[in-house]
Amino acid sequence: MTLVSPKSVIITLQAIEEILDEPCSMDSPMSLLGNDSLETLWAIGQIETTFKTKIPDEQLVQFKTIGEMATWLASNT
Amino acid sequence: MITFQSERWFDILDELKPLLVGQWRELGLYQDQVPMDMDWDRYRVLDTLGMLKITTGRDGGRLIGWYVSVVTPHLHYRTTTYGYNDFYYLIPEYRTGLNGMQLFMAMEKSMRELGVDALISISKTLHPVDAVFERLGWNNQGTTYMKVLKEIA
Repeated sequence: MTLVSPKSVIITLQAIEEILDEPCSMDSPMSLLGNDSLETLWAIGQIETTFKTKIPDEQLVQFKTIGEMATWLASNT
Repeated sequence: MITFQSERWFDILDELKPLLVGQWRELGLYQDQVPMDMDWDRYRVLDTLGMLKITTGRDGGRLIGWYVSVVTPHLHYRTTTYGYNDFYYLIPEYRTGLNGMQLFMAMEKSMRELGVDALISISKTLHPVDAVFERLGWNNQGTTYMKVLKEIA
């Protein structure tokens, strides 16, 4: 299991906030990314571009909260 | 909890039938000239032959989405088995987050398990889902055109 510092997760969360232009918390639902599949996938594309990574699809659909995604990004980028 | 899985046509038919009316009303093209009139007998034959494959989405027990494919070797490329999309639909209130993507992913997984070699599907001009296809590695291979010759009765 990869250890990740809380600080790096917070920084990642702040970067996601900037991309979405919406306040985010660790518990924010993934639905904050968009109102439908197209908006959601657009937001994910922006996040992946910013973090220069591709979140595997099987991983992506496991995230229930923005915090889970931020933690994964902080651990894998 | 929303789940995605393979089911048999025969097993979901009673639930699906009334929901298909809503799908047709939302997505059916040229509805004045092309009325909904499902050929249930032909679907039953395809199901019996093992050619009809269904991936469903359920929220608890409620049917909230479906992807229906016809699996058959290609007429020109007999050694290659294709999964042709017949229709897919996600009830509007469930078109959030990654539900659509999960429906497609579950369908692809079942097709791989069946040994299907290639998939053909459509993103309708009025209801495009290109982003989902592209995310999942599909390639746009053209544009579908339609011209209705039948006159309005």
